[in-house]
Amino acid sequence: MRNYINKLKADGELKTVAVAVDPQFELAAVTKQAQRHSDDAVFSTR
Amino acid sequence: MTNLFSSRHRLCELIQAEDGNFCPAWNRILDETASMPSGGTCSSAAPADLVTGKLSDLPLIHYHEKDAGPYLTSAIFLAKDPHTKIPNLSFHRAMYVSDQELRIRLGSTHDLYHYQQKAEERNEALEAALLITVSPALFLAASASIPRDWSELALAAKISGEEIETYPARTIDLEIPRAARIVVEGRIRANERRPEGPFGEFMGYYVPQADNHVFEVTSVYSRRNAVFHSILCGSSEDLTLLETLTAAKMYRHLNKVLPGIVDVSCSPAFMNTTVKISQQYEGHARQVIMAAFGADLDYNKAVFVVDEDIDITDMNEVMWAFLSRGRVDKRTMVIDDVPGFYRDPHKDHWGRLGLDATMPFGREAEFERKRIPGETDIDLDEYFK
Repeated sequence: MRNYINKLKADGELKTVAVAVDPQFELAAVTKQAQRHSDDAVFSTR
Repeated sequence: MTNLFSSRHRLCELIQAEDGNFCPAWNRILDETASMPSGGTCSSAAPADLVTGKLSDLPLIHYHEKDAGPYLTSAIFLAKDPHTKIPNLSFHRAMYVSDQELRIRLGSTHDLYHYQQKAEERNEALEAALLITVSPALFLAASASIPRDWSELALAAKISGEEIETYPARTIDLEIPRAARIVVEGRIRANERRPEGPFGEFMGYYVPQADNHVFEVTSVYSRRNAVFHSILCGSSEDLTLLETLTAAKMYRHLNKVLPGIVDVSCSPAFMNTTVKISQQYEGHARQVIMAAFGADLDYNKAVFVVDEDIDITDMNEVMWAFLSRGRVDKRTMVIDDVPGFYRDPHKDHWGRLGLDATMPFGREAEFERKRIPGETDIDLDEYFK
């Protein structure tokens, strides 16, 4: 999976969320909004 | 990590298919798997970087307003048929209750449900492992619907072109794929059901609380710095994958029984199937509708059949074809009172609708799509100042 994530990053198909996201609803809300705008994978780092 | 598998382009790329050619490429992979439907694995020692933990170390994600609690949505259940010992991979939602307990919903059409029933008949718990964040090949294999005597691990090996490396589980008799970043080992208890749900499911509604299976956790561990994969149920990541693999299943079935099958799509929801054909004879489309109804007894509530010039991922175009290429009264088939999706206590998914949206056979020249020469070469910036 690491390799695949790195490939998506290199292909410009990965968006990174660098701010802390609450697993109570906020993460799902961010995911839903992100999917409305593109097919890019979303990586939350915190 | 989320939204990994929401792009049709990426799904094609993962199986080395050209864009728009997932179905035939997937069909070839299944043909290859059919010749060796088990094996494809090699076992070695456990990875050196495994870190022991507990469920509450993982992101406990609460997705929807009325969900009963946090859920694991991307976990792939690995289990073995109690009789044949063939390993199986499948998805089931899992509600976090405590570090020792998950409650899970096993769909009655899934292999894991039947394994659990076999074990329960002997009053035995069924050992299983939840694999979270796996390689794309394992993820695709787990999402696929294949014959019960095939191993999804063998399919994953065909997809990736290499053997699936495994190691012995810590507390149960299973081989864990090395590519799994997070592992939850345990057993599904026999003869025990506890309240699970409500949960916001893939159709966009809440599934109410019900007494469902209990998963007793025996060990949790991960690779160092593991990434956690989360899937928003019913999102484009969930549905694109399911639609694509359902379409591939339909394509495979239809190609075995009828000529002229070009492509299949289950967009915009896998309750719908749209089949693109090259018409071979009068009535061909109606036979395709009948065959499609039989190809999947759960999902294809509506079936459209269109000609080769129609974009089957665009329902506007599909409906345009239906409305512009013939009578609606003679090209609609309604089949009453046929059960559909298995979780349907009020029969809301009973019945089938078939729509022949093809042009009349033998009158193709009358339905030639008009075109404007040079249309695609126009750059409007050169015209609008």
